[in-house]
Amino acid sequence: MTYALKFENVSKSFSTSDAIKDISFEVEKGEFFSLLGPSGCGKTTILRIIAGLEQPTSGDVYINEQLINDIEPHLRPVNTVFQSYSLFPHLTVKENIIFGLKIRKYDKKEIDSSLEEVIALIDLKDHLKRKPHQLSGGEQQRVAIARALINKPEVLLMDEPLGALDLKLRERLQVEIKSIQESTKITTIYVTHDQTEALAMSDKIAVMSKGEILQVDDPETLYEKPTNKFTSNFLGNPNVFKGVIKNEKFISDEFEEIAVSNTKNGPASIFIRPEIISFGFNKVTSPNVNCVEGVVEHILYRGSWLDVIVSVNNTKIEISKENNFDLSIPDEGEKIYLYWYINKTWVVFDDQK
Amino acid sequence: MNRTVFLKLNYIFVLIFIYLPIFLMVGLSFNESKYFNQWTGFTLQWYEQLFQNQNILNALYNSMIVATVSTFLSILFGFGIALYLFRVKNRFTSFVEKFIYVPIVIPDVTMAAMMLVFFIFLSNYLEIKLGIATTIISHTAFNISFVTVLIGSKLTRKLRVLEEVASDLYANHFQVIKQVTLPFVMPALLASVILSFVLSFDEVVISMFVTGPGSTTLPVYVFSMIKKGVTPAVNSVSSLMLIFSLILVTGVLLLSRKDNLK
Repeated sequence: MTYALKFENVSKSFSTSDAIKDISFEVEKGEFFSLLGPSGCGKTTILRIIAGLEQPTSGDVYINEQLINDIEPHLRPVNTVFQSYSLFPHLTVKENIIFGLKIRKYDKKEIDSSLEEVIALIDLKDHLKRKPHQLSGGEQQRVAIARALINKPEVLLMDEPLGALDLKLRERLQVEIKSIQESTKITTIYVTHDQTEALAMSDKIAVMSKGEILQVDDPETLYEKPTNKFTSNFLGNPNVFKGVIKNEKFISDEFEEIAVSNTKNGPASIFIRPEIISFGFNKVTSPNVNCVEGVVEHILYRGSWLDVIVSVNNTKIEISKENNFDLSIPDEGEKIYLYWYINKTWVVFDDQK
Repeated sequence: MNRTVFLKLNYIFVLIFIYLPIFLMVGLSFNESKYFNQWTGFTLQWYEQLFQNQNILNALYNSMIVATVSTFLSILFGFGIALYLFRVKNRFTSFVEKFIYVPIVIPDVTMAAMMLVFFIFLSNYLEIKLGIATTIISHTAFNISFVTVLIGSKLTRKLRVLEEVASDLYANHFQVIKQVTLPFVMPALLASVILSFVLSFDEVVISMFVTGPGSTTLPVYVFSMIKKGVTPAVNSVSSLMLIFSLILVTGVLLLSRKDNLK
């Protein structure tokens, strides 16, 4: 297999704490690979180690099968798009973009043709002569992307590049970045704490918590088949219950028996995603579904969808439904039945990490 | 009554308080009469006499040398210290960071006495004569602090990130300094050049202590003139020094304004 980037048992500790612990993963050539986790989980540290801005305390880092531990940052075939744009304030947009080529003494012809190429991907034609402070946040981030991209790095690193932008702009740039990545086939490591961003853009996602990678998978597997509690909880907004699995039944303080499709027994948590739960005003009896009775407590109107909080046996279950107008919305205080497919009840046993 | 009327009166009062003496001095430097209580006509004779006075010209020359060399030295050392404090963060540098500011708050007379004692002590072991060199060293000693503070204020987290960006874009250490660090701190660097030049050029107390015969600086010379009485010559030389300082300080202000626009 050809990988563009490989981490082998990499750790980094700072004087007070461990930033990352024994991290190993591989990124294939041309892959869009996201590091996803809450702030302080070590994802930015991984990026800085790839860029050479931090030295790992132990372990090895390879780019294209070459060990790069001792290579200085300016000699590494990687480029970074930093979180806060970080354009050079004293240079024009054009000078910012061609900075990396000029430093490496490319001749004028090469620089011009590279600039044209990158501007075909990222529309900045009207801004080339401006200074960064004359641009909006979104435009500045485009310049920062162009400045990294023009060097055709082996690995493109992006550190929460859209973190400072508002939602609409963020969504537009997500599409833009994804399509640039698809057309250039550049191996990309993307750091984000925004799960929808990671899910929408990535070929593969590594979920991180407290300096460790918990699961690496494609977005669909990660969302539907998380292997651990943290991932199950972090992605989406599931209903979580702690209890015991016995003979394909989940038993807890709140529930007498919820059918699950796991044959293993033992203490476990179940995760039921709000969007897989349906509701109705009549009890549903089918061997494929779980059905519980509850009372509508709250309805949160979210515009394009509704969150309904239902109280069931002294606990609460949240369901979310698309707002498609023909949905009959129950009233608060009304009795309803919730039902969902048994095989969609996701189980994570306590002994699973 | 308008609520701000007292603030306005206060403002006008302070303006008069500051500027009246200035206009008085500059005006009287053009007065034909030697006496301040009568205006007999406009003249440039005091300025002419000034430029024929060899003592004043010598003092001006000394001041220029002292200000130029001590500015150069304090920029060299001060920039170095600021960069060190910026690049290295540990217990030692946080200690240095606090003590580098001490010369700013030490009273001039104390600083002057300190430097004098220092030179006298050294003269036990080295051949040291009070003169231009000792004045330059003393001025450098207090200017370094100002330069360190001024340049240090531009060495921010933002610059650190920009330096990382540059090294990520293939710039080696030398290229990072040349392409990013220097342009970024240039306004503060120029401002500290002007500031330390002005501080040195206007300095009296320390210079009086550590200077020797034949190496008198201009402010020290003016001070000795005043001891003999305030003459029109004092007015004219002071006016020139004022204008010179104003021009330089305006330079600093313009630089800092340009910097804020970024």
